[in-house]
Amino acid sequence: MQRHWAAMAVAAWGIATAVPTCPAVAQDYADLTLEQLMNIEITSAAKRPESIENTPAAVFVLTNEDIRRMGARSIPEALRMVPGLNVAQITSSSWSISARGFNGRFANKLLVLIDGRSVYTPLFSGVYWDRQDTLLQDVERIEVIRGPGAALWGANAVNGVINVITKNARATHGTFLSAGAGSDDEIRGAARYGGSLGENGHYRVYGKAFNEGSRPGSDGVGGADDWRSANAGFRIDLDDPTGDTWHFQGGSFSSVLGDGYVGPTLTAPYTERLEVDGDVSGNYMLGSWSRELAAGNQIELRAYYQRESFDDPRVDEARDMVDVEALHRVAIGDRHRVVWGVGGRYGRDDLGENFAVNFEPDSDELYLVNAFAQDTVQFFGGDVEVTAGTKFEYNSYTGLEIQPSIRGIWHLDDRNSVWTSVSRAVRTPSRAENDLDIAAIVLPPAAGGLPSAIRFVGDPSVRSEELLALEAGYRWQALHSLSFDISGFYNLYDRLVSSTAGTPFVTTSNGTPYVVVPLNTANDGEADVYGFELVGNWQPSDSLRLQGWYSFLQTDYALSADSNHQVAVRSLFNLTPTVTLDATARYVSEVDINDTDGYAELGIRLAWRPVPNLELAIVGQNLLHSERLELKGDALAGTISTEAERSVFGSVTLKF
Amino acid sequence: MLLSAGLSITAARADPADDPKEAAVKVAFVYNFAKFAVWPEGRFRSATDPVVLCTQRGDLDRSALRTIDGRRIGDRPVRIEIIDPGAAVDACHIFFASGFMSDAALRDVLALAQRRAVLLVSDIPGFAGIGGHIGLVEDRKRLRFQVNLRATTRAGVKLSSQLLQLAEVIDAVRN
Repeated sequence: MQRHWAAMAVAAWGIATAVPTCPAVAQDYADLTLEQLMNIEITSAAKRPESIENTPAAVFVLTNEDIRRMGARSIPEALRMVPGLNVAQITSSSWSISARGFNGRFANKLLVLIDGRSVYTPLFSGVYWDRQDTLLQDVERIEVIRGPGAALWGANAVNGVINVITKNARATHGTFLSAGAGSDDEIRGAARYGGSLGENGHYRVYGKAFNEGSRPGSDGVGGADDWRSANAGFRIDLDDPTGDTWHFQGGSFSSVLGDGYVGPTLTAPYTERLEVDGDVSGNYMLGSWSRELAAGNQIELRAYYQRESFDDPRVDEARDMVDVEALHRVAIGDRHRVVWGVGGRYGRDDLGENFAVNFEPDSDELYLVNAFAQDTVQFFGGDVEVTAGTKFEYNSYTGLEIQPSIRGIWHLDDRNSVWTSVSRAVRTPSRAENDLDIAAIVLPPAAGGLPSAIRFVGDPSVRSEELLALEAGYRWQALHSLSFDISGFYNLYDRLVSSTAGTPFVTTSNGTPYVVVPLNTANDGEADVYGFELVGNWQPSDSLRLQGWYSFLQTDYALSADSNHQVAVRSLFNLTPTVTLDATARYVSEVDINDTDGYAELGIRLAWRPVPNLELAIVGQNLLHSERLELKGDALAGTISTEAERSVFGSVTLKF
Repeated sequence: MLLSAGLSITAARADPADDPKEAAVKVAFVYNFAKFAVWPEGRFRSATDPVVLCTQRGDLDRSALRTIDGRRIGDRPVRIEIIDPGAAVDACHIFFASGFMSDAALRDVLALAQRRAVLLVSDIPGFAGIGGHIGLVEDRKRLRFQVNLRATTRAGVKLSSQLLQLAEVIDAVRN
């Protein structure tokens, strides 16, 4: 098989070098929307519009308009309308989000970046979604890549990559004010001001704050998940006349998160229901510099520092991280586009200790260094593009990890293209999988015996999880106004982190004897997951745009909270030049692992822009149910899920 | 009006025809602007009257223009008119100008456009800032566009909010 591949590659190379490059097929740019046009690189030598939609991967982009018109008020909410992502809200501030399976509160196979800053936490290799907030008005787009992106982005880009990209400060001059209120004591306010900095610079500063009331608890008791948060930040973009580009941004946030949970105790009834408030805060600073050395030859440096701290009765965590990265993009000859780079990261944490949760050691450092290279080669005048690359990453937990991928796209004509890829990705173990010791549940004593605590125990020798992913897709522009995109995948996972029962022993806590049943961490899991996502876009008229998708997922992994089927339809309708009426409808099938029912849901947004500077909007969400459970919480954190309620939210937005 | 202040930046630029891709993308932008613009009633004789897009000879690549000639916007076909430098633009709905004009010619075009509801689009640097309607701006290898809302409103051409959402609206109040 391997020899066959090599032979094909050699043959393709031979043909490509023998046949002179054909002139590019005239691309019908007039079929593209303004937003697509704004993404086209006009000065590159590429033969086709170089936009992310044109890459050999399962890609989906949410634009600023998409986000605004679905009435989303947070990044997770916006992600609900991305095909193939499974988004479930557990409480008002906690979410479980994954692509292509393995969902759960501590889903750990997704890489999330905001302007190039990695925001997944090494604590559990997942994302604290409540902390990922910014002024959505200033988000230019959210690019979502389903499937591995490890060759470029490194470990943890296993099942997908989410890139949140904010606008250049050049595009946010002026004042923006927004205020809104709605059901359940929801109150929000945001302000931004932007302007010029000298002749070639631009800046903006923003602040926002909100309060959300609690939702009903799934145990029939009123929830305790009210939360409030404030965040502020800035961005500066400078283009100096010599061609250098500088970009700086920073931000700071502070939140109080309410949570109700069931925790284990050593005395009858061996559980307690608690309602707590956690304090979370964080700061970050990011800077980047890039220089165009020549046409198609660019270097870029990026560095950031972030610090976060979290304090609630279960977890007490402080974490610092520094990351530095250098990139070089260069076009070699007419056909090669090479990107290579090196990077490094250093992090340090401090973690608290109590009966239920203990990390050993309680403070740890971790670091990684990496290098990657990727080459995109054009054949047949750009009709076929092959991208091959790999990342080498050395991390302090598992040592060297190699993550190669090869991808190819074939533009059959201006309307049809097919792509395929093979890639390997790994997920490095989290701090928790290495060093955590957590009592998940205490079982009452059997006939005069001792209570037994089931404890998950981490293992510093745990290795990385591995994925071999096979993907293929087809894109079809059927008409000017109608297009389809289908992607399929077959993922083979190995060495999945799992738990195996160890030998029970007796110990005491504050003088109370009990039996510990350890569940030791190992790499015993295997899984095959396959599925596909089908997306259709139709713009029957200038004033109406429709989008629909269906995703199917089949997994033989028993422990993830995945839905097999998801369907969504959205319509964006300009009723008049000043009034828009938008709707989103979706269906999510049941989650077997914890008996969460499937559901259908509807959201509607009506907005009126009497003058271009002012918008009044009203959003109705969860319109089909007065109360609805989306995902039952998890045993590990004991969180009591809360229910989504029918809600209304009105807002006023002013720009001048 | 900042009109007289900014007019001298009509320096020579690279001929857009040099780069067929750039020309095609610019034409596509102009076509999209036409889709999202509403002209006063009097600018069309009937509901199927064409939208006339004018550009000066040598200004935009012909093969790029051909990609939109004859396309429809609603019930109206798009008609491309290539006019001689200095010729009147009264009959145009959109006029695309590039960085070739004299200050005087540009001033005349702006004045006429204001009276006759002609939407003026240009890639002259700072075009929207000097009283033009829509300026195409190159930014990090990509094109974005600026709209002078006050000037378009005064000319009587309405731009849909969909377009304005994507635009960098400049000098909306002042100017």
